Amino acid sequence: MGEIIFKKSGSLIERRIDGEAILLDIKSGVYYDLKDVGVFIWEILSGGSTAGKIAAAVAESFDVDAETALADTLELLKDLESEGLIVRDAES
Amino acid sequence: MIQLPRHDLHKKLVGRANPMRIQLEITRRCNLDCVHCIQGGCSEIGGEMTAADYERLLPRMSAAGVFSVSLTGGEFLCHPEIHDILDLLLRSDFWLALQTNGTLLDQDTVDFMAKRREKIRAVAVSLYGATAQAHESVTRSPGSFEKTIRAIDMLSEAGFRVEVISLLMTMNQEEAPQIQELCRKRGLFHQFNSIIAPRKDGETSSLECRLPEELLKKLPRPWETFTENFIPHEPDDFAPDKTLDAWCTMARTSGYIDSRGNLLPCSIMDLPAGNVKDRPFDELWRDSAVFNALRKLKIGQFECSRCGHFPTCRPCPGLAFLEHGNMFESPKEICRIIELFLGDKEVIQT
Repeated sequence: MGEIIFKKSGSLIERRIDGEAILLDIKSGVYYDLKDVGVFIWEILSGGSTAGKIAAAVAESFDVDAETALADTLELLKDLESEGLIVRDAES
Repeated sequence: MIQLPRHDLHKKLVGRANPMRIQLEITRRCNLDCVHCIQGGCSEIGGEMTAADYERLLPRMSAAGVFSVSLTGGEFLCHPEIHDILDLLLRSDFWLALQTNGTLLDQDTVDFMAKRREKIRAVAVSLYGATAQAHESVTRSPGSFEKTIRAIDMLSEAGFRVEVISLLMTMNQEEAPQIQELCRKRGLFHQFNSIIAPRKDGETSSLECRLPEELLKKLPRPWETFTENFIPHEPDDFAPDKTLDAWCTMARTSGYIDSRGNLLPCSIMDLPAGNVKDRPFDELWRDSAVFNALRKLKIGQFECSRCGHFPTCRPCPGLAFLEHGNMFESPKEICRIIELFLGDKEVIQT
């Protein structure tokens, strides 16, 4: 079994304001704010991706080891999924 | 990741003058003839923004950071290209709100909108009575009550959030309880209002329909909630040397584009920043001398800042502009209502 591919929910309006990603979930009317690494990960999710690939990109672009990058990525993906901002697309 | 309450987002964006919400006056035309309408000239034809104009405008609004768009009028369904404009808006990435009298809505249009229902936050429908007699005493348009009720029911059945807005005046105030009951039975959000403003062209005959104090006091609405929508801020945000960031969103996080493309601070303050057909929205929003001057105004410049009710009363500079042609004076109709419910407070001399 492959890794899970995550992608953005279709019910979002997103704007980039001063380097931050401001998201509006139109199902709930709730706004969210992503900064720094969160914005980087959010960009990758535009095309759908797995936690492993995202973590590798984070480790490559930021000054963190692979283990930390994976832990941080998984934590954000968990938060995003629990808020309904990303969905599971398929398995790679 | 941080969840942002709307008020916090407003605070975050207001200092950057980043637009969040834009009202589009799609047309000034209207098929009704309401006694209180502030527009005047509702037979306006010509010069309106076309679907092609909106096709150019919407991406610039999105790029500027606008999240939500409200369609208003006149009656927005009177625009000859309204289906093309609605299609553009429903395919764009905005959260929409519609304001309508409902009389021109048909099942095909409702079905068309329902295909992208998630993009429409709410449809606000104006209802002035629970009977044709009361409603049409305001709209002066025979048959409008039945059509409006039918529209409310079509929208509800299609799953839209319908918000019924009822302006109460001398001729329809007696039906306030029945309007409430009509909405309660249908499970609709409902709101009364009683603020009648002079027309934009200065005509004031509608002010005779304002409710006198003894009737205002009998309204079913608990008027103590008049100020509850206030954006929570610290008291110091309203000090005389502060800008209007905590008070009024005009030209900060909200704006208005009239039917001919003029970008205005709000729906009732006729101070154009320029025209979106001549210059991209985002540039106008950012660089307009008018908007930048509004952003620099200080609370101490306003008469209201010296009143004991301020800022609890949430006075509207736009209403003052309509009443006096001068936003710095107090909007007297709000003063009248506030003093009725909160008492007469001493003016603080500075």
